[in-house]
Amino acid sequence: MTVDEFNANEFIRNQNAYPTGELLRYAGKHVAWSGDGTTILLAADTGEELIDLSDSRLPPDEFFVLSYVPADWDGKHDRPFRPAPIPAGSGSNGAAP
Amino acid sequence: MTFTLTDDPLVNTATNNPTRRQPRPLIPLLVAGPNGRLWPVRGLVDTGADEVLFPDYLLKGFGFAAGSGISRGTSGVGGRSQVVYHPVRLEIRAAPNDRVAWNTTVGFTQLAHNVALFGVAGGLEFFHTTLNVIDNHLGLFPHPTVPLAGPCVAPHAPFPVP
Repeated sequence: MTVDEFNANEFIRNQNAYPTGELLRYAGKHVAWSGDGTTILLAADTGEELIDLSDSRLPPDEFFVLSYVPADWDGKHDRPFRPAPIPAGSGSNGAAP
Repeated sequence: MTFTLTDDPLVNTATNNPTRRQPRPLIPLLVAGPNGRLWPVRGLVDTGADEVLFPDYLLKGFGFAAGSGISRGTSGVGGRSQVVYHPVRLEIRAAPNDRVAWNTTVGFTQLAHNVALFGVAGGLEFFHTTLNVIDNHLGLFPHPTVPLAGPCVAPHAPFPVP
């Protein structure tokens, strides 16, 4: 894909459909998405490395989008909040130990 | 122009299992420096950010001379950091015929998750912005005050930076 063919909404829709399990493989990596958002073309540990890789491995007119896959995703807010039970006799519930 | 929201996967770090998708206003920002090379980067539309910021590793791809640019300390949610400012050509594009490009000054610094922040100064100040999570879209409508830039002919073609 070239820069003139780029469609951001198509890119986002395809990226949203990218399998989460596949994306997990790139956690903590800098990645280059294909211009249509369907594939990850390159991955590197640092942004500088990714720029070097894109220069050496991709054709000059290839359109791609630089991104980063966070390594510290957290699903803790998915669970309903239930405070841990207070151990009996700990005194932290206001009751005398 | 309107954009579909990005669904970022969230993962339970204890089990390493994906749990759900989080809708976020992440859009591709097309940015070019003095060497004219166009770098498309994912950016978060951030109404709480005072300015447009890019991760500093991108400085390598723009052709800025080492040590150039105005440096300033700034503080944000993640703490205090040093930001280097450079003039760039910035473009957002929803579709091939639905796009706007302008000349502006942006900052480069170390950013959490290495995602660019499309904040107010140099970015959102030129747009009427709407976020509709229910209908899953972001609206960015250029204001007449946007300092429009000429077309960027090709990814490697140089262009004048003010």
